Amino acid sequence: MNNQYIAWAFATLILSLVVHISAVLAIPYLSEKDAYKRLLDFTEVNQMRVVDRFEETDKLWAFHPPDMKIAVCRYDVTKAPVQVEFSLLRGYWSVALYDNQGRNFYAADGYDLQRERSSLLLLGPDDIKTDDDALPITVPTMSGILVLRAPVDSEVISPMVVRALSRAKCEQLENAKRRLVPEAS
Amino acid sequence: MTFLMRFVIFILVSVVIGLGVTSISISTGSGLAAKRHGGWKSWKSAGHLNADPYTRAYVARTGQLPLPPQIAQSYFALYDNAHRRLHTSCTYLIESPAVEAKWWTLALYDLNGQIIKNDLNRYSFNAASTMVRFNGGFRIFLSQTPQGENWLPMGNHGQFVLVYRLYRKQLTDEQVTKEDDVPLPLIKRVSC
Repeated sequence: MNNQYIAWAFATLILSLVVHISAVLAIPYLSEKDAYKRLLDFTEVNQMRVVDRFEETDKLWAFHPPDMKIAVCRYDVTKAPVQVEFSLLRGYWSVALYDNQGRNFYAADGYDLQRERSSLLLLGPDDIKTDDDALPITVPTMSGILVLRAPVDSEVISPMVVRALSRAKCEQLENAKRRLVPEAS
Repeated sequence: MTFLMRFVIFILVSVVIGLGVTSISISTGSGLAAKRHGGWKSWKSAGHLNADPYTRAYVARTGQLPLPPQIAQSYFALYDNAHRRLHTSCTYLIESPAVEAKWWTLALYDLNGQIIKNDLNRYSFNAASTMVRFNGGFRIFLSQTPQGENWLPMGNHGQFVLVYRLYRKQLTDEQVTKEDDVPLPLIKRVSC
């Protein structure tokens, strides 16, 4: 009888562990609060959108710094590469790329890029780089999110920050070349 | 007790324990993923491509979209330095030595990560907006009633979360690991 209880307890422990590990791994896919999913409804494909009111950013993701303006682009390289142009006016301004599961795979700040005007070329696995000036980045998933973050020192410079973000571009490249993929026989 | 009944109890108990441990380990930050620094807690791999599963679950469940730790480090506080839960009915003093960062920001949120509104529309202090002391450090008061120096009004909301972010020149993975010793502000309860 005692051995039976020990067996049940041991089985409970093992199954609890299985449930725990499964739940931890499943949460990123099932969470309704996921910031990436919220951003999908908020953005148009391959268009930059500036979010300058913190009441708006507050709804997009949790713990967003109130003294930061952002611009967001939902990129999609399915048809062609996407070119992104922007300026990081201060060293601590940043650009970050997230795949379609909200995982960050690229990030740089102004100190890193050291250019007045920066250009990224988001490429699919079969795309060929055409623009020599742009930094090529092969994206791990065909769609995802790009976020420009611009901390604002004070409300006085806020309009300048918003203007700088408004000049950022995120658009599909029209004359892009794509590798020829052999047809399956 | 029949075998079927024992089996049902076994399944129910296992699911409850498994989900309970998941909920606690993610919301409080298990030692595997989160590190304590006084009253502060940080998820070191939040925003990292190779973040551990607990951190990924924490980020998704709380609805964050963090920068990788090489660019910005975030520290969250639910408790003061004496490990008492932060509450808007109290007055707090946030005291920091000189900050070695290009930019930093300190803001308070409700438990869901939303800004707590106040009549002054003042929601944070940062490297530029804070009155700095002679030693390069700063003091910020959090309270419902006006205070001198730097004052962040709290409103009457209840429990809250304080978030401190540091933006520095890009760090390597190795430097991020060594960043445990970064001096963080003390959270002192003045009155309650």
